[in-house]
Amino acid sequence: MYSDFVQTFFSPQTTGNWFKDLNPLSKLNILLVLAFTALVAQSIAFGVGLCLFYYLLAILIGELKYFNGIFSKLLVTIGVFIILIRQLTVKGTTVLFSLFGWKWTLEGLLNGLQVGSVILGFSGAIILFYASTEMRDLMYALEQKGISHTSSYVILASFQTITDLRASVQTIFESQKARGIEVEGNIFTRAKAFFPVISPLLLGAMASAEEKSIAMDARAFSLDTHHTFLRELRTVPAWEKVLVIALDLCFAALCAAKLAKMLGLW
Amino acid sequence: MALIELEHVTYRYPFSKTPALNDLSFLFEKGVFYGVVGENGGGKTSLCNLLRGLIPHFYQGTLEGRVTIDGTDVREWDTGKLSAKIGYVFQNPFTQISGIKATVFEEVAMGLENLGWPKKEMAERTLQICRLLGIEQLLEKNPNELSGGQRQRVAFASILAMDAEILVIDEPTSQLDPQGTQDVFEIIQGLRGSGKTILLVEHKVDLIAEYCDKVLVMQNGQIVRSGPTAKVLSAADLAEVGAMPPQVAAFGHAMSEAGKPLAQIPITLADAEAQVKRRQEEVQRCNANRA
Amino acid sequence: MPIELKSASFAYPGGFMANKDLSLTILAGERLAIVGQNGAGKTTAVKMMNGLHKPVEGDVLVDGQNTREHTTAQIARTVGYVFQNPDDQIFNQTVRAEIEYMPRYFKLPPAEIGRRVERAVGLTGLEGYLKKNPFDIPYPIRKFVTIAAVLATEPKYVIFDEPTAGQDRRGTLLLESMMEQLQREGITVITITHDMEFVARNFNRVVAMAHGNILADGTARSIFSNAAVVAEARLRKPQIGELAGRLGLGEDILFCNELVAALD
Repeated sequence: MYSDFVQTFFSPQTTGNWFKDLNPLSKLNILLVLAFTALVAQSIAFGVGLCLFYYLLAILIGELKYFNGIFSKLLVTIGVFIILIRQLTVKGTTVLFSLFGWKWTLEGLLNGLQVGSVILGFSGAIILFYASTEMRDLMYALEQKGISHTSSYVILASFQTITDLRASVQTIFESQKARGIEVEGNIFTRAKAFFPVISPLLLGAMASAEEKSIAMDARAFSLDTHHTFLRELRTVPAWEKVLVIALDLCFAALCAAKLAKMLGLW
Repeated sequence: MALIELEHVTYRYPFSKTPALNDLSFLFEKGVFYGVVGENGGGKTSLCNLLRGLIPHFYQGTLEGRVTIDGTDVREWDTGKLSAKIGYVFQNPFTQISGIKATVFEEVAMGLENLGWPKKEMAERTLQICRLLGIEQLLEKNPNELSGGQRQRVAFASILAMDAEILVIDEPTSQLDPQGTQDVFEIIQGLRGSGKTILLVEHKVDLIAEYCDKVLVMQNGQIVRSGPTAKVLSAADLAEVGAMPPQVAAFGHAMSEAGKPLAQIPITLADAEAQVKRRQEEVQRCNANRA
Repeated sequence: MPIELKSASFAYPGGFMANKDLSLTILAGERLAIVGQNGAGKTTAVKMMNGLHKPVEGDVLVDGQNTREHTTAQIARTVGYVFQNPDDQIFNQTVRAEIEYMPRYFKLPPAEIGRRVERAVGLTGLEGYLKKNPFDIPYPIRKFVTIAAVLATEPKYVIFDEPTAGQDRRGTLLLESMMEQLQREGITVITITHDMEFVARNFNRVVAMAHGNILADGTARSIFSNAAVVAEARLRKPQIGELAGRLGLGEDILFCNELVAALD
């Protein structure tokens, strides 16, 4: 009797992809463990291996394009930046080549690659989390854990607010140009336009925040009763719990080993 | 039976010297559709804020006098319960969309989630309302990407789904184009005879004339006229209290001045058409008799 | 000198063609209303007139100057444009500062600034509000603040987008007297509006738009009496015109006195 679309709300939201369908909190846990492992391991080989693993996972969940789009940009900017900085700050003796009298050393390069791989190993996990999780699902999972309805609303709504603000900036720009304020041109001209653009933007954002809180109040947000959910996630299966706990234990073991090594107990 | 009772209500917004509502006394009866017209700054929106409980729960300031909703003083009402009892739709179609739902279906159901409805009833109620308001074709659309008129319809649906006893509607069409306005008019037409108590603030007096049972005219924070729609809107001196008479009412007065009076001052188009036709028939009959 | 749109087309990034092959000449001192439903291309058309949009094909000339060769801010000194939402524009702490902003921006002498502010305030009835914070006054009056701020730049042409929206009787009457005064000063007024009573009362020339182009260009009477245009542009006839039509008195009647005269 219901359309296919409406019917989808009567069963838990699933995509059919084993990884995407993990509970958002499980996913967050798994990916954070990977991210921190990169931090703890401090190894180029591990970092590179982890990044390759991220790519594999991205392909498996069908989000290669999204993941690669952000990750490759990060790789280029962070990579170049870190390697340059490390060449400047790390003193080394093994000169690889010289660039207009600037000596590049092997030590600096290795150090740069190591730091770079740690950063990328860490951020890759975060990007992958965004690629595989809808924020509303994360908020749903958090609400189930007892986070207040209002806090989850504020966080979720802020994503839309960013989109809305971008549109307002455009309108404000046009409206100020239309009365004669130059907003394009050299730095000085642009600086003069800063105030006429930023104040309506802030005031407008504040006014609409007030209106929105009234509008949301009208939808019984503050009614102190048990809330129900139209869109629900599946209950966490046992294997998923086992997977997460096993991974957490491995991570704890890794940390313990690393600590023991540092203290010279190994 | 009086549903909302105002007795000598005076309200000042914070930092404001002049009262926004000035010694207001009125009885709002259950099941009546009220229209509110009058000058900007005359207190229309403040009246909405008062009936909606935003004064004194949301806006600070000083409230004097007695406001009771269903026999209980507004100050003692729990704001959450009040929001379930009184639905509120206002001007800006953009700020009434939650921004957290990916489809219109979920957006409209959101209030029911907050009321704790079971899923099956929630889905059915949502579908029923969307069908009623003619937004079925929008169900799967992202509410954040709709036009102003469509958003206003979704906002209406979201509030109506919650089935509140009282509806406060503040200038729902002021930011819409004629098509969007027409859409909202159709929704309001559908509200007639629903048994709900409704307060509609609207500049488009033709709309008030068409649908409301009673009309209030506000000026300087006071209710300066009130009564059955036809009586209030047909008054010859309506403009003196800052309200725009319907075009056809102005026409009715002009006919009287020209010595060709209609039986009554019309306030709606249909009304005017019928009265002019009746007059024309009478004139013809007179001419025939004379001949 | 006129504003001329010569076979001007405009497409938004993404390819949506909002105006196609639009030709329109607006003479100095004219008063013109642009009507039609949302999405008909009204706003795009007026945005081409002040250079906010540069045509992708064809030309737009303002007093003989091609808009492509100037920034919007430069054209704004000739063609002023008051946006629909005043909150997108107002940023000063007082109404006076807001109105003074552009004359000061142009570095005019103090006496000239004073004269311009006084004129703009007189036209918009804001005398009692000058020291107030624009955000403490009601929205419909705030709209007059943006109108005054644009009028203080003393443009030859001024564009209003939906000026009557949310206005009460007093606000609408004020707008009407302001347009009368601007016309006496020889200033061209171009207005986008959905308010057909306002159009019938105040505009001699009405341009009805639909599907990104001009459907009809003529007097209010000729537009409203053309049933095909009214339907196609999705206009709503003024109530008196509608009544006259229903009474079988023809499509030409628009005003109360005409209808009274037409009846026995």
